[in-house]
Amino acid sequence: MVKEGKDNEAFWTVAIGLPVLLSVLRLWVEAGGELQTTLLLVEHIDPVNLVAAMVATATWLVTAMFVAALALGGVLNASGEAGQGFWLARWAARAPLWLKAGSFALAAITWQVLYLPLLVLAACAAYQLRPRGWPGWLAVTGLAAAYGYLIGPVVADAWRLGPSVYVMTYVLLLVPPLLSLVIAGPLAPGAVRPIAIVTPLASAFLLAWIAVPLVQTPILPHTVTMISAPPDQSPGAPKYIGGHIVTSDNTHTAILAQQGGITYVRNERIEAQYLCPTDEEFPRYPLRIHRAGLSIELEHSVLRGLGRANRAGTPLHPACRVPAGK
Amino acid sequence: MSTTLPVSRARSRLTTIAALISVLIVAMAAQCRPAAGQSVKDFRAKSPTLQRADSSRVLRIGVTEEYPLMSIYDKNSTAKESQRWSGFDVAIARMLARELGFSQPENVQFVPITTDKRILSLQNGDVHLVVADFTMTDERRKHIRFAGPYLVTTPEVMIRKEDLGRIRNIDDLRKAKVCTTGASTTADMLEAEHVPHTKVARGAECAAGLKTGQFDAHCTDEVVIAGFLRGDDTLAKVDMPFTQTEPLGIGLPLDDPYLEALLAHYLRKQLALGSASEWQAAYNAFLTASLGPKEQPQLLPGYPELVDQENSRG
Repeated sequence: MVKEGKDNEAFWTVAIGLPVLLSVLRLWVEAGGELQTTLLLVEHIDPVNLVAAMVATATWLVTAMFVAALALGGVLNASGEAGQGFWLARWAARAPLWLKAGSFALAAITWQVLYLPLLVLAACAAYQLRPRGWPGWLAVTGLAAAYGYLIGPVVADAWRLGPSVYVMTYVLLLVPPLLSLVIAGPLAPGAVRPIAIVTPLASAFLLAWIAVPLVQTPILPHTVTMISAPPDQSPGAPKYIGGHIVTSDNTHTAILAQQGGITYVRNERIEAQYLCPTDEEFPRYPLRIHRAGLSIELEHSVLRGLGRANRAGTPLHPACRVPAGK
Repeated sequence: MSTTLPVSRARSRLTTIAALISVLIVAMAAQCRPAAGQSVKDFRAKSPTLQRADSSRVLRIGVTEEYPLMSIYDKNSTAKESQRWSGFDVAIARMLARELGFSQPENVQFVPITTDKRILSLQNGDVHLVVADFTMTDERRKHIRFAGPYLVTTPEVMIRKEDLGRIRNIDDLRKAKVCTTGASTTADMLEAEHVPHTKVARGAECAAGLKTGQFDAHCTDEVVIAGFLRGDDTLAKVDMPFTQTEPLGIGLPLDDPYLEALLAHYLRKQLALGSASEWQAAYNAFLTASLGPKEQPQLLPGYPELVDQENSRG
């Protein structure tokens, strides 16, 4: 019992501590690893903003951790005594309903649409869902038909974009629903132990791997500031500074410039500021589900899709095209 | 018992295989994201022409001086230098410049060039782009690159109104004093049709020559003629059975495939916007009254597809 308590404690420590640790690391990375710049950021960034930025960008990662744990726990629990002995199985069995339901619900709205079939697979594993009897198979047939109707055009579009896109699109959209039909049930006795030990380790490694780009995601909005020539020089073409605005007072605005370092600009020289997207926002799967009044990109979450339906995206301002420092 | 045991064993095997494949898919999903492809940002950074333009933050665009409807300079305007220019070519050039990041009036300089100097100006670096009623031809592609077409026109003939009964077909044209601009596709066409002609540097010289009696006909594309005919009752257009169409493109240096792809990308973006595009607004503002309604022409095939952050923001 004592060991189990410690296991649970460790799990919760990771679940809560990981986002906090990521937040601090992000500040450090954002500052380009410079102590003075980090201190300036720490001084001016509200912890609430930091947490809010983290929630906006990393909720899916935390839910992914819970969903993976619940799915593996569900399969181990179904594998008899051999599986139930592992702490992950016991944790999954005892996890409160709000956590189980909440993880899947949050995942459903924050994961990219492309990964939602994996979420269905995880739900089937966690709750041991499989078609039973003819009503079950009838329901599966109906769901499969609806799913086919929804993603049929996406499958065709992906084919047109060539193997670099369609291989992963098909793997992510078509294979998990098929696996969902057979994932429920006990593991082969000989496989329980290796899977129970290797999978959590592999998952932890994968989560860390995925968390690296997350550390590099900016906390402050990326802007381009257009500044006029200094008053003692002849007026010419305006200059552009790309970066993040750290703070602004009555006289100066401090900008964490894209090419490094903090630049202080006198407020009267600022002519305009524009919000610009960062490189991470390049679409990798330029595909979109466009059916039955629904229109959502595969790389957008349901939440983002709803937001986009509510308000169109900001058009990119030409100032965002100007190379840094020009 | 003898039947249920193999069934449960089969199911547990299936579950095990499904579990292993699931782990594999998750690992693949984390590792094997498709590459972002050729991006606008990459091409923007690699373009040697834009690097030169960025060093002074001024994009120099060659336009034809005094081509009514296409590029007109208002000497009396008090606006900033680049804003004194107007016309369809100028509007297209301004839209492309803005998309490339040259969004302020100070960032753009329109350089007046004569038709025979369009290729030379690009080759010696006087201008970064040419948007000057420039027909895309294979011969010219040996020296420069083109993005487009952004407009397709046909050659026409302009004469004095009183000559309408005298000059009616190509045979009549062969006997008349014909003027056209040097190094133009119209001049090549007149050669092919064996029509003797005089080449001048600027179309305005032909129009002036028509009035003084120095020339009987000015042969050039329909847009230019529509421009000269506006507000001038003494001149008229003759429909000749020329079969040639003239796809107008943006001229750019031969060594810059990146800029070519970028310009094609932005023209394609305009096409996708349809009737809400800036192309359509420019056409409606300058050309609809003279040429009738038209849609933006399709681009020539072969320009690479570029990805942009903007693609996911629409």
